[in-house]
Amino acid sequence: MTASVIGYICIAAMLLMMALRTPISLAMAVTGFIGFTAIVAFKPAMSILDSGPFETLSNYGFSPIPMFILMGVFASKARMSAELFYSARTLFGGWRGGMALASVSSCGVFSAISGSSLATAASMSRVALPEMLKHGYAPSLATGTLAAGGTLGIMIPPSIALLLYALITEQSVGKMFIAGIIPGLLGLGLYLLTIAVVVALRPDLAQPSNKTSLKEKIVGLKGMLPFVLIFSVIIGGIYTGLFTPTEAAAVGAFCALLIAIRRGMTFRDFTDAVQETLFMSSMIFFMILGAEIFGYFLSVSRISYTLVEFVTSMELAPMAIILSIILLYMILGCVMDSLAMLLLTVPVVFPLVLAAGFDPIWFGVISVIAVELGLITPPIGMNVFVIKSVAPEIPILEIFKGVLPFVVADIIRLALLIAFPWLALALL
Amino acid sequence: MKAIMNTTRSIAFSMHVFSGALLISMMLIIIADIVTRTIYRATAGSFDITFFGGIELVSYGLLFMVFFSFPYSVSRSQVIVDFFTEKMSEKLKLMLSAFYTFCFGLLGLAMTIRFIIAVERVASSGETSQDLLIPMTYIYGITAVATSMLAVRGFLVGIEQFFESRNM
Repeated sequence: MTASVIGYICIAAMLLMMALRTPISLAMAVTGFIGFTAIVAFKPAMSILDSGPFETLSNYGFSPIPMFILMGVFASKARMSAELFYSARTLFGGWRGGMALASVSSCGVFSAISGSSLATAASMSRVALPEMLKHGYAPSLATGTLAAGGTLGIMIPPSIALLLYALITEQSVGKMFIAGIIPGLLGLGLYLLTIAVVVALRPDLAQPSNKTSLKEKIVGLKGMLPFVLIFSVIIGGIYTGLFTPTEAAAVGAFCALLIAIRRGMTFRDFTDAVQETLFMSSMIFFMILGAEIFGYFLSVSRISYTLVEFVTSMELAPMAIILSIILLYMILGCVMDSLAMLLLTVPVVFPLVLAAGFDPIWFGVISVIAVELGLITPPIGMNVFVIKSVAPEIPILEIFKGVLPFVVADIIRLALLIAFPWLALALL
Repeated sequence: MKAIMNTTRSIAFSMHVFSGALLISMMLIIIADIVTRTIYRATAGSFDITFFGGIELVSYGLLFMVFFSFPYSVSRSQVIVDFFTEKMSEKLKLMLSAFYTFCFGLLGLAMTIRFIIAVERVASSGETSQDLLIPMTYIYGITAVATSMLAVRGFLVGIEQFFESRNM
């Protein structure tokens, strides 16, 4: 049996294990270990159990992951999300659908310091959802807006997904973050446009709020200041070379901590934030550990190499390759967690993308958006379940119905980025 | 058995707390590194309070932070695909979960064995870390302690979940 055949069998076994509720990290580690043993030998396979985890987990490049999570959690504990929402709400004043617009804008701003879609959706929905429902918004529009708004966290820098992609493919983290700015803002703009269109077509879905004066709007902007401050420090520091993108995460977390302390964060809140960060970080690092062991197996199985050879022999157009990968991501996204998907698939498809002549940074942006779609598409849609946990009385189908226009907006964004790659590369 | 369970849970929790302290320390080390570096640059090198080995401290801090948080979070910090097994009985789900947690114990055990071998290897070569010259025996040794705790917790939590599922 050739190494590639063993490779395909092991991948099939891994997918079967995942379908049987095996934790993704364990499925990757076990099949990676067994596959490596089958292709090489048991003793070398055992040796990857120390060198692999040791080298990966002591890699300085991975240190921003817990830091970015910590920054987002501190921001939540400081109740910055509430202030942000009320600020955005004042800004949109008496517009029909103004609160939905405010929610999406708040999600965009919050995600600029959170780095996590789930954290953005969870923080913003606790504040904005009760308000929208109280003001007569249709549950589908209110929940759909927040579930979709949360996904902005995966693209607007700093983003854990962009960071992971950069580390897996050995690209510059700074360039990855900068490349995410325009697509992230484009996503925000398209979401705002989606709400405007939905509300124009179905005015009964959202009621107008009280009008606000110009003075109130300007005073209301105060709530956005902490976010602007942290975001400016992070991006400004990276841009001016004061610190590296890796260090920026610690700076951001420290700023968020100072703001939280100033706003009266108790010691209990502090320990809760650290604990929450550790659980979320463990979840990601368990998967990274599994992916590392699986990665050793992938390289000896030469699957990526045979895949590239196979696709080249088919003489497919480069665009057909990209579209196939996006389709694969959209299908996988329906059943799999976004970060797990990146860790699992990028090492396999990346050589293919390079062979087809695409820019690796651009592909990073494209793949992260495709993965992001999985957060709001049925049947899994993690963000949808986050919203469901905040509002258990709203049927899940209603939330998916509300999310649908935003899925269309995301597909339009993907099409725009594929048609005009400079949108992602312009700031580099 | 209950006493053993409680003791290991307490040890794992203490490690979790230590892991949290490491997380905050990492953040402060990076901040201190940036601040001292900026002061050094701003004063054209006349005021030098920069320190050596910051990157190494953060790297090993991350290693210990992750390994020390694993034992306490082994059963709760996992991502699973439950789309295909949504209609499965809760009892069967818990039994499967028990088996998988037990497997994490095996993974922890295998890593512990390898790290102990690594301790012996670096002890004979006298290998140290690059910047701070910390003997690698300590680093591998501490990692082995953390992975052994992951093994113990994996086995015990797996057994606990198995008995829980039988009582359902």
